[in-house]
Formats: sequence, structure tokens, C-alpha cells
Amino acid sequence: MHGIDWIILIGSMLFIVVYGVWKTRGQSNVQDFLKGNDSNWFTVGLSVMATQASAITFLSTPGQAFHDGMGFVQFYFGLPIAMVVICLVFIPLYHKLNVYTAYEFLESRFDLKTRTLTASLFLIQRGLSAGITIFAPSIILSAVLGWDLTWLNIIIGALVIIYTVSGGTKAVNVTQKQQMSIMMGGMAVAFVILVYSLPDGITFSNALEIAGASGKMDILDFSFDFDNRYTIWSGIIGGTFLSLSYFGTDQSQVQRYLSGKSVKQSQMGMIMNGFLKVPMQFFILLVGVMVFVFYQFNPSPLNFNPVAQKSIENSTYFEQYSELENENSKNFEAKKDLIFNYTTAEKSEKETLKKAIISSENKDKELREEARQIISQANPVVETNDKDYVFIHFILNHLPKGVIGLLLAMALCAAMSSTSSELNALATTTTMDLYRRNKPNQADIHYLKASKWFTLLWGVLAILFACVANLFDNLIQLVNIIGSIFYGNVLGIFLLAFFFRFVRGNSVFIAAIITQIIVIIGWKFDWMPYLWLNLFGCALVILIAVLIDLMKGGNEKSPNIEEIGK
Amino acid sequence: MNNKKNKDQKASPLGSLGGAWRESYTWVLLANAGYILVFYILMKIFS
Repeated sequence: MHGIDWIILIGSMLFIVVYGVWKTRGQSNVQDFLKGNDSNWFTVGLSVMATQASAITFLSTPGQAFHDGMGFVQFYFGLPIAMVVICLVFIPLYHKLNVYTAYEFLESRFDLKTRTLTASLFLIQRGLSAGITIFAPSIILSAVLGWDLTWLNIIIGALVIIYTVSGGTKAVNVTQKQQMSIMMGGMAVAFVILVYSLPDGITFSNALEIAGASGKMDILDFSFDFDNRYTIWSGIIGGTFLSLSYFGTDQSQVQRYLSGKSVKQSQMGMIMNGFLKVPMQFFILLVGVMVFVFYQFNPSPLNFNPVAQKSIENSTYFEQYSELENENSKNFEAKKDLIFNYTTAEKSEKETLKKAIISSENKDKELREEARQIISQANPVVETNDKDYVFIHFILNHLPKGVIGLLLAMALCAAMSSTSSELNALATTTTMDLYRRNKPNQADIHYLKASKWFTLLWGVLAILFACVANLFDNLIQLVNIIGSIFYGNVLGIFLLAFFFRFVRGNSVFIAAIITQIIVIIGWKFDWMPYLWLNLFGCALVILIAVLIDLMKGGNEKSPNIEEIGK
Repeated sequence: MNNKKNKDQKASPLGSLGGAWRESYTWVLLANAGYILVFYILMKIFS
């Protein structure tokens, strides 16, 4: 890395930490520290978006598009629907109850044990996710700089801890504005450079044609194939449930819109997210597709993971791998010629050339698969799935000085923005749902200090988890899988609270425990694609709770939500 | 309850919002449908 890259990278990080601490100095009460309560809709919207967009979003998603095309965007089609439901149902109620956490509401509606159980489920799944959020950029920097992974986890985690412990919710919100600017600016710069890197005579439209001929522009899948992870149906139905769970019941998001200065400001922030999220994800995937097109004209390694490449160089499989690389080079040259011909061909010839390109693309996939197998033989513990390394390989090898620093800052900003929201939410839930509930009637300053200590504690735990986390399949999917295991159950509990007036706390508590066990078994034995676990868990907890309540045959009604607000 | 900042939300906990709000919700859903339509057209052109 060049000196200018270091200046941009370190400068951005230090600026954000110092700005976050300075801008929120002198907070003296727990309300300011944990709630904020003075953000306008634009800050709320940006904060919600920055919280969801982690380093995984910016590094892994382009790699996903590179290998599997644009289909992943379907995952987000349910999000705008969920935004409308949250604006109409969740936000008004949370504001009216003046709660710190989403789980506080459950004690009013059901009982303490249901609140504690739901808060605990959140702490488990979000605590694990916080570790992964730190782990993702650490891998990148360790691959780039050869630094120790453990030390990188500690440095990234420590930077976030400094301003989140110091300024709480306000520090999270103010820093996310700067972070979001760097993130989107970085992606825009990468996109422009990719477009200008196309060979002479190849336009942006040609680039999309090339991507299409290689199967990367199959954006929508209308099939009812239950095994297919991303279809328009799983996106709209499963995505709506996942988004409802995430934005409606996950404290890391609830806390963002509770910081709005009024109901309307919170709602407008969420509507902004509903408008912008799908195009934003489309754009990030499009960058990945453009990276794919770029590598149709420029040679690429058989495996993008530098550690995997290195294990081959030092092994007895080196010659076998070199033969594969030679074959890959020949295939690359042949495919490049086909692509040039395809872009200038008459319509009648295009179909034949397209078939040849698909055949060449399949050959490319076969070679990469063979390479993965050889790498596994040479080093069984190395990660051969290189999706997370595609975009960073492009950044490091093909971007000019200065831009590399900007894009590394983008990845770190994304990690920091998500982690800070997570630590802030974990600390708030621990303080308000567990600590204060069991140690009431203390002075405000006592809870303020406790909140800061819990932020620090969760930060340290996240760093520890990051240090032991291992990649499997794909980082972005790992986070979504963890979410899907817990979210459906939690959402079901909230839906029972909102819409099933006759169901009481005991029934919900028992149903939630049974459901969580069944969902974990279902995931372990692969009963369904993970996205459907949201719907399954949600439906199951509602069904079991209603059945238990009917079997008990009690007539007393729980308080409804109108009564709770009084 | 701290309602001083929530003047626009008094009637119901489900949030009885004005007509303008319903319109913006409709626009979000229409925009989503629009995105899907645009993606469908892009897929048909380039795939």
C-alpha cells in the first residue's frame, strides 16, 4: 500500500473516532446516552441504512454477484412492505410507551419472563453477529497487510468501543452520517473506474450484454423451487418476515428509529430506507457484475483467496495446479475473443456465440472447482470459497493509489457503523431488560455508568468471538442464517402481543421455548432453505401459543395494546 | 409517558396517520413494484 492510502485510511478512522467522541461529549443522563431522542428523519434513515450495511455487504455482495449474478437482490423485495407495517404498527406504539427497548413492551403485554427470554434471544444472536461484523474486515486487512488477524480484530473493535462507550446512541448516529458518505462514495468511485476500465469499443451496455450472456443478469427467478435460496417468492414472503423481525424487534434497529425526535421523524426515516434499500443493493451487486466483466478482459487467479494460493505454492500439488492455471489462461483467451465477437456480431450470430460463451463460462467454473479441490488436498483447513475475496482482489490489484485507501476505509466504516449500533443495542438491552429490572431504584448516573460498562463488556466479547470465528460458505449468508434461526420466533412473540389479545404470557413463554428448539433442529437437519425458517418459526410460535392457551381454556384477557399505553 | 414530542400521534397506538402519510406508504410499495418491473425489463434485454 502507498503512503497516500495509509493517510486516507488512518485519517478517516481517526477522524470518525475523534468526531464521535467530541460531538457527544458531556452526556450526563441515561436517557441521552441510550435514546438520543433528537434525530431528524434523514439522520434516522441514514442510521438505519448504515446499521444494516456492514463490511460484509460491501465486500461479500460484489463477490456474490461475480459468481452467482444479480439474483441476490430479490432477498430485499420484502423490505419496503415491512417498512410500511413497522411505520403503522410498531413505531407509534414504541414511542407512546416511551420504551428504551422493544422487549420492554413485552413485559407490559405478557410478563417479565417473556421479556427476559426475548431479550436473551436477542443478546445471543446479536452478540454472535457483532463478532462476525468485526471479523469480516479483519480478514481483508490480514490478507492485504499480512498482519495478525487477532490484533486486527482488537484494533477494529477498540476503535468502535472508544466512541460508543463515550457517546452512546448519539455518537452512533453522528458517526454513521460520515461513514455512510465514505461507503457510498467508495462504491461510486469503484463503479466509475470499472466503467472506464472497459476496453476500447466496449460500452456499458455491451458490458451488461456480456454479463447477461454469462448468466449474471438473471435478476428474477419466478420458479416455485423450494430448494432455490433466492426466488422472487422467497424474497417477498420470506424477506418481508425477515425484515419485519429485523427492523421491528431487533434492538440494534429499534434503537435507531427510537432516536427520532417524533413519531413522524422516525416514520419518515424508515420510509426513506424503504425507498433506497433495493436500489442500493442493486447498485452494489451491479459493481460485482462489473468486476466480473472486468475479469473477462483481464486475467484473474483461479482462486481469489491469497492464503489458498500461497498454500499451493508451498505444496507438492504445485505442478498439478500450474497445469490448471495454463488451461485457465487458454480458456480466458478463447472466451475473450468470443466476447469481443459477441459484442460486434449481427443478431443472427449472437445466439451461437452466446452458447459458446456459456460453454466457456461453464469450463471456467469447472476449472475453479478443480482448483478448490486441489487446494483442499494441499491444505485441508484453508478456506476455498473465495466469494469474499473477489472484490478486495480487484481493489488491491487494479485501483489507483489513494482509491485503495478510500475503499479500505469504506470497508472499515461499514464494519464500524454496524458494530457500534450492535454494541449500543446490546448494552441497552442488558442494562434496561436485565440489569435495571433486577436492580431498580438506583440513581440515573448509576445506570449511565452501567450502560457504559456493558458497552465495553459486549465490545470485548465481540472481539473474542471475532477471534475464534471461522468462515463458512459466505459471510453474508452466515449472518442471515443466524438471524433466521432466532428472528422468526421473536417476531411471532411480537405478533402475538399485537394481534392475539386472548393469548397470555405463560402460553407464549412455553411456545417460544418449544419453537426455538424445533427451529434449531430444523436448521441442523436442513428441513428448508434458511430464509424460510423466519416464516416457520413465526408461524410455529403463534400456533403453539394459541393451542396451549385454548387447551388451558382460560377466559381472562391480557391487557390489549390500547390499555398498555395508558 | 413522555408524549410532548409525539404530538402527531395521539389518537391510537396503531397510529392513525393522515392521508398524506397513507400516500407515502403507497408510493413506497409502488416504487418496490416499479423496481421489480425495471429488473424484469433489464433481465429481458440483457439475459
